[in-house]
Amino acid sequence: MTVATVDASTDNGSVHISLSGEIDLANASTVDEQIHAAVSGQPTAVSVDLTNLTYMDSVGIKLLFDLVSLLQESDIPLEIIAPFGAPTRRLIEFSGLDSLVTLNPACN
Amino acid sequence: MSVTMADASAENGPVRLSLSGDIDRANVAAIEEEIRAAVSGQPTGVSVDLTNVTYIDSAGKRLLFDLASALQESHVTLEVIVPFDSPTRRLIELSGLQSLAALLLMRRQDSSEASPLELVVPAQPWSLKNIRDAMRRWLSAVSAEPRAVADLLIAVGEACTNVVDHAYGTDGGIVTVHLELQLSDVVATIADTGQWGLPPGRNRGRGTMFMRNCSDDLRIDHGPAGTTVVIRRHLIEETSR
Repeated sequence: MTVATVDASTDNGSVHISLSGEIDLANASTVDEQIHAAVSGQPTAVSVDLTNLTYMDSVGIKLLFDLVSLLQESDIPLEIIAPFGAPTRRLIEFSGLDSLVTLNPACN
Repeated sequence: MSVTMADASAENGPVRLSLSGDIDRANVAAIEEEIRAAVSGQPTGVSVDLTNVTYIDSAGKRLLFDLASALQESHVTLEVIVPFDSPTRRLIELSGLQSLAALLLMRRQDSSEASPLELVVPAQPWSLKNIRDAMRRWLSAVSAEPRAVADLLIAVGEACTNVVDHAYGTDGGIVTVHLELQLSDVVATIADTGQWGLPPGRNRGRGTMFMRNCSDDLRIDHGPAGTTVVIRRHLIEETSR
């Protein structure tokens, strides 16, 4: 089974989500539900940390595009954290997702 | 006939069993007992290596089917290892076990590093992780660099996701993944025998783009007998894209 952990914490109205493990077709809908639950309380900002995500492909990227659309409806800014050289970062750049979010290599 | 257990105590990894000799009606009950004892501790996965099995009859095949069914019910991955060129492989393939076992992994009897990897797995979402795990082991054995490993995992992952998503109807089917070294290239071939009912959607387009981004050469051949994707990626040099 493909396993991912979604850790969400709230700090002063902004939600920080840390993803670890792997995301593929087998668990994407579960991860998607967990992310949606984490951002359901009208946060002021959302950040998603992919540093500890060891595998993701177009299925995971689609999930992030969907999150962008959802947050844009309420004008909530999204920051994605992916280290330089990480495969997740390359997919974000290939897909053009980096033009829709703030992409940082590490947590501030 | 003997059952050898390696890593049977591994808490996080799969329980690895190695069978050797003849498996037939005469000893199948004893083997079943040993296997059941070995997998009773709720492992994350079970790997059964048939490389040194010289003969397996219908009772032996039934044992494997029963094991695969029982493990599938408890969502435990079963990996069956049989050599490319053994009579066992033919029997296992004819029996259709690959539609039930989470992973059927073939390797040559000589386990030299450069021997190809072949996986025959059900075209189901839960196979995707098994494919990555087997690829990581093989790519590590051929000393692929981290970037090449990551690229191949993504490119092959996209191709397999397409098969799982689109190649077959509700009856499901099989996806075959073959990896081999050609000089300094890894050549990955992903094949299905499905009909691809749906045209590629927006997300499919992204998957194909990632396949292209993560490989040095990509060929996709849709035919009436199925689809074959061939991905070529240098083992060492990083792509500049």
